[in-house]
Amino acid sequence: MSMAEAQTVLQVENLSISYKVNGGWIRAVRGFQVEVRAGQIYGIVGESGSGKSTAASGVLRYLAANGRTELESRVTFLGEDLLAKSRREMQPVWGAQIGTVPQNPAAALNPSIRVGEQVAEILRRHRGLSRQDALDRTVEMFRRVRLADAEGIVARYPHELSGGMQQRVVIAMALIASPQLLILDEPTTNLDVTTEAIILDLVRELIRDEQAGALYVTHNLGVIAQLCERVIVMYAGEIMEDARVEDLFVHPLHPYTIGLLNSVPRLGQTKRDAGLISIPGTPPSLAELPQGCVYAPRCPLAIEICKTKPPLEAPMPGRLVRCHRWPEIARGEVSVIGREEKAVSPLAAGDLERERLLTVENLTKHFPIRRSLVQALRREQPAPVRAVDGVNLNIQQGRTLGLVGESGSGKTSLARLIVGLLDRTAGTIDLLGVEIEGSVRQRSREILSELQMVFQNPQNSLNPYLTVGQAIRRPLMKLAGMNRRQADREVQRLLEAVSLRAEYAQRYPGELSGGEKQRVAIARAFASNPALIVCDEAVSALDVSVQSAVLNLLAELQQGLDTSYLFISHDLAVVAYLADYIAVMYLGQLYEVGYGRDLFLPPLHPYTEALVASIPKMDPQDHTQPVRLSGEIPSPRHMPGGCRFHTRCPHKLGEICEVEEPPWRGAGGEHYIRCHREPDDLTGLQQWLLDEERE
Amino acid sequence: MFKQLSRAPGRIARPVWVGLAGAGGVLRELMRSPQSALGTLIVLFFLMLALFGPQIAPYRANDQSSAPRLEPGGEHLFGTDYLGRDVFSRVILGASSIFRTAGFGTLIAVVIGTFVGLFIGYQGGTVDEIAGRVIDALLAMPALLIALVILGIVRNLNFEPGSWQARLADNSVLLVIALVYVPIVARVVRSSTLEIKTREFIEAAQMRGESRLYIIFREIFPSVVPALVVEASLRFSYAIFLVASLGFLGVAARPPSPDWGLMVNENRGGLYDLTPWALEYPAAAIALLVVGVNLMSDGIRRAVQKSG
Amino acid sequence: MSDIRNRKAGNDVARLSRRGFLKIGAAGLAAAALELAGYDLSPSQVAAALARRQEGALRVAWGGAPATLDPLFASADTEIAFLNAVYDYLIDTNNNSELVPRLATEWSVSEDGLTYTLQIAEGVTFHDGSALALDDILWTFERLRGEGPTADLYADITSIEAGEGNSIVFTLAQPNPDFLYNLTDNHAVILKQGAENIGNEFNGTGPFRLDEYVTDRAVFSANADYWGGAPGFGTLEFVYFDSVESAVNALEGGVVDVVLRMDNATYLNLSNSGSYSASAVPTSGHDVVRLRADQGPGADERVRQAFKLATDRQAIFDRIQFGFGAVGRDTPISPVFERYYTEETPLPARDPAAARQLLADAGYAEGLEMTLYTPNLPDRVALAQALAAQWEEAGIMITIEPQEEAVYYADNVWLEVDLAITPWGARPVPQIYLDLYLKSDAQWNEAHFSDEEVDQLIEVAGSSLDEEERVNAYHELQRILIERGPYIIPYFFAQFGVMANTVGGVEVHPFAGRTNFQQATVG
Repeated sequence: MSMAEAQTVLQVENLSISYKVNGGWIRAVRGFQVEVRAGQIYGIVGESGSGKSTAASGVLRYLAANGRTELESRVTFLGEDLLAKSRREMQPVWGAQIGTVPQNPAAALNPSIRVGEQVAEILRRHRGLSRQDALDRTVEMFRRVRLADAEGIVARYPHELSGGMQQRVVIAMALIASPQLLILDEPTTNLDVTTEAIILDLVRELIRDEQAGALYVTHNLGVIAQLCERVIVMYAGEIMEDARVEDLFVHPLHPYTIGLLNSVPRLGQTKRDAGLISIPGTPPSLAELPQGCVYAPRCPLAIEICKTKPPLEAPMPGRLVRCHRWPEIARGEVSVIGREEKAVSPLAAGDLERERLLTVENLTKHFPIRRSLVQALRREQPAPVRAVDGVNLNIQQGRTLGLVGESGSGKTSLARLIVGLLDRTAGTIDLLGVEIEGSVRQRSREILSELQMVFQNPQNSLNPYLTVGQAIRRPLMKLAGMNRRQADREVQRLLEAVSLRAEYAQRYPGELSGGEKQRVAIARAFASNPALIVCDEAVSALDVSVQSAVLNLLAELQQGLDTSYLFISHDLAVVAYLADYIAVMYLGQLYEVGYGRDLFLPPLHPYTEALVASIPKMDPQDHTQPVRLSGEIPSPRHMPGGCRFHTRCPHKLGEICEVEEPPWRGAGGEHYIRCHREPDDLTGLQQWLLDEERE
Repeated sequence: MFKQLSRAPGRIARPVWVGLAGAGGVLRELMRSPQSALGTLIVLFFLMLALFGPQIAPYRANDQSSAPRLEPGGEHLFGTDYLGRDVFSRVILGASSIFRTAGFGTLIAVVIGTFVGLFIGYQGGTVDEIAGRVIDALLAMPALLIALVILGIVRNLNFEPGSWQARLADNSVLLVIALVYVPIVARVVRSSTLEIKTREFIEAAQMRGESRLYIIFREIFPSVVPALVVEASLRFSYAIFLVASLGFLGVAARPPSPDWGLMVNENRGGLYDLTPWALEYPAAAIALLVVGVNLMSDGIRRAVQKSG
Repeated sequence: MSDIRNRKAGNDVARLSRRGFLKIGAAGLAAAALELAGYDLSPSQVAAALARRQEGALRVAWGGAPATLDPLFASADTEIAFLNAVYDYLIDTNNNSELVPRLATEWSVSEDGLTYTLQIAEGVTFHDGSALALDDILWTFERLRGEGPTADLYADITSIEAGEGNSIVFTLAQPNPDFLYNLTDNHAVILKQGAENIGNEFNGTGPFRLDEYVTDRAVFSANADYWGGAPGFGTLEFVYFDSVESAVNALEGGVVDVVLRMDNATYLNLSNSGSYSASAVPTSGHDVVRLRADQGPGADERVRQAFKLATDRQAIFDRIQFGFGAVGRDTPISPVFERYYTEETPLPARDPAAARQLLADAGYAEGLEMTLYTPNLPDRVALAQALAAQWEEAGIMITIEPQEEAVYYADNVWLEVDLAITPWGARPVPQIYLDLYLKSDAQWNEAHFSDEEVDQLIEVAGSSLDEEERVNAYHELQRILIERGPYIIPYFFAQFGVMANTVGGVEVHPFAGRTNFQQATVG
């Protein structure tokens, strides 16, 4: 515990923050406390609405106009009381002593100033450096955050940089003045997993080198496990638990922490193994907090005493928990897992093969680019965006095909081509042996009713001005040909099927939580009893506790109705959980297909390997991360020749990868890899995966 | 900079205008802030004058039985003008014409503009491009100028009294208001439509094989309503101003109509020094109503924005 | 037709100027409301006017600027005032419309009324120093009798010759008792024989010489050699404003000394203020409200009577003229024509009930709906509103249709519609009105009134050499017009002048442009 001697950078005590909403004050954060030491990364984890970002903002005194910090709060930074300072006195603190990295880097950068100038400005203002010195230091800092061509990048504007590069610039900006404290609010949430892994490496290294303290806010437990020394779990504005990361993951004491840890699918876990353990219900509205323990309404261990407010107790030094029943949990006398979630029935090996429902051949979508004036004069046709480029795949009856890939890989375009929201450039789609039209406008009612979709964003997938009942009733009448009375009865049945009470039919989407909305969207998709449902990032916007319940629901419905899914996600663990088959997509083409389990054991396509390696493991002990992808995903307008992955491939063979399209190679069973390397060769390179598997 | 800063936590309830379906609901929402409450009261006050003016006003608009140029006070609260007409009564009676022209003009503009905006916005492509340019071109011209040119032409056409052309010409101000505001409303609706048509519930509707009309009116239109309500209330306040300006310029109303703008115009110059009250009261009425409608439309905008 | 502006002169000065109009268009109502407070002088106007204040200058403000200064075509007040300053007329009229000598010092008429001999003043010189010759007068009248708006006026002249001594002899084809008034016509200033570039160069015999003429002002200096005696002050300055409001503001600001022509309300304000010497001169100018006598409801004499009975002329006079000028009696013969004016025939008292009955008799038992056309000028629109309110009590429902002057006159709306208002400017003799719009074959017989008896009386009044006979004819005409004429003439205008108290010796003329300034004194 050498860290114990490290200096305390930030001491927060009894921080409470309120917002004025509709004339009343809502207490968004209550009694928050934390002590951050130099060189320490302190995680704050929680679901949306837990108050984690608000608490971080409160420390910084960046509150919205309708927010206020309550009087009893105390924020001490390097021995100074921040809450007593005026805005003017806060300027040097904000500028130089505390660095911040927000979720959206684009919002933190001024779009009209070169990024180098923006970073150097901080040094000139707060450190009094000359322009040239400041720029030199900026270039140096850019190198430290591993921006390739740092000299070139200082002269660029924010829009000329990718999201990952922007986030590195913002990190450089936060660190340039050598702050004693860094506050990071979901800095990797909008990034691809491959980029996220690199940023996390960077943050870990920089904090260690700079010996600054850091508050890291995230919803992702894997990130916490990989990055933080200590962690606070927040729920409904209160601290539930505060512990060293190893302790938390191994011996969680709060039922909520246990629920969270259980609801995240581990990589390699599938629906055939066991159902996910989810937390029932939804977080409470801050305006109507329950009396007593805020978690009690969802807690499987709630008893009479939980109607009184539990104190934040210290079961042992360096550990806090807010639960009446922590001693019983610690002694293992009670189990949070009340009932074992049912797994989907396991399959005999021969059962896996079923008749093909949907066959896609050479499916291609090129988006034309509008000609520039120069091109028009030269009679040139600009290269189109090759979003989907000759994809072949099939989906079997009652099975799930998972599709993974980074953003920009073309997976959403592929989904939209299949359901007919995009017109294809070339290729064919066969449904049950019949070739179908490309666009929804040309498709018959029968075909429309067989192909439905669950969208990513629950906010946008339901019309806010139609009730749940109206939303579900419409496809019943339009596609299933029911009359009004039949449809209304069916609405009740569908709501029940997605575990929503019948009264939800009268509600508007605005009155539903994200998970409830997604259940409604699922009910709507199932209304026409389709053969195939395309789920495009259908659980990505949901909090983990809710996500697991929706995944369970999807698995149950599939088993009951024998519906096929095309399940798309950037989250490999989620895809692996639900899918029978997985296809890996990169720059418009598939590079690997196989059964779910195949995708985590060698041989793998180098790209798949990188994806697997990039996922932050839920195990604080496991820091094996041998593979990192360099660079950004290339623009689909300027497609690399040969193997499209060669620009980032860690196992590149040589010139052949740049020139020749790789062949599909069998890797055993139904597992295929598209690579110039032999599968055996790849297996040799990927021994680390086997080691991990053995553990 | 942090994602939760812009919005305080708290669950959003049902869409505001669904919740506000009754007129009482709208009123309650507007009464929340003192400014919009004041604005709404002013507008309601004038609306009452517009509806019940003839019952309230002590004299008829063109009654000249009183002595001319009487100072305000006594029997004539706002005095009498040079013809001996009761200014108080004329101000009261003027409310209905301004509400009728500005109100119905705005209504027609909103209805037509909504149709146009929804269709070109949903259609997109070349149709949208062409219509967008036309709208931009129309918007480049000041509304007052367009109105003056059109009214100037219409005024000098002599139609058979009672013919449909003449009836149209009689309502020319109302129609001109509608005409100059159609492109503005259309543009607002179009941009809302462009945004909403990319939402996933629209795609869900397309995947059900819904007709274009169904998607436009059942799926898109309700989401346009909040922006439309705000725009309509804003248009209404501009329309009042425009009608008053046109009245002042003598093209909106025919004497002896108690049009406020016309009253201001009629009592300018030498008459202003003789009977300042005959100008000041109608001018104050215009100012008060414009301010009132603006405050109210601010309130409506806030109420609608609250629903996100 | 170029005379049309003049004929419809009157108190239409308060209309929006073009510039003011655009200002309102640009800045909207609020700006317009501010404009009410005061129109600005251009800086050059202020500077120039203030500079001359010291020098014993007389500064006269006009609410408009000259458009043409060729005597043949000039007609507006500003134009005639300019000409009246640099040139001389043979004969002037005073503010009682009496003949006053100018270049012609005395005159005589032959027994048969066909020969007029005018004695011309001696020692008259042009501004260039040359002496006035009779040939100059002959040449000027040749010009006036040629092509142009005055050709008709002088058509009856058979010859103009130099007479004995320094005299000019006019010979007429037929007697014309008003002939000498014709010589006072606004256009009839005497030019130098063979003058060129008329309208741009001004070599007159008048009391003032032009020093400087730019768009917003004309500066004259006193003609020290003026044959009638040099003016008693050094400089006469005409300052041209956009509007009467601006001119009045300039007067209130002490930047000008005299404002001529303004609307009744403005005059009432200024005269009430007590800070100025204000004079209101009754004139023969008037507004005609007329029905068409040949078609429509007005073809029925009972309808004309009903309109007359429904009208309260005194109330209109009080409200619209504020008591300035005179109440009208439905004839163009104004009280200023003392010799011809009569109140012998009583005007029936207002009686809406009787009017309603007459209308019922004429077949309009349910009332009568008509459109009243009027040029879009404030006083006329005011008159229309007053009439509409009064007539409504007799069951006559009026829609008022104000039209821009350009449309109203150029498109002959005023000659065609059934019910209209037309303003007519001040004239020195009543006969002009009769000839212009009352005779059956008059060019502007807008009422389309055709009455043999009236035509005969007009003929007698316009040609008889027997003054008694003329007076009787005018009296008889007034009786007929009151009884069955299709006209309501509710009032006669006054002409206004407002001057700083330091100014004396200026008599406001019924036609403002003919106001003489050479007798003025500047305090």
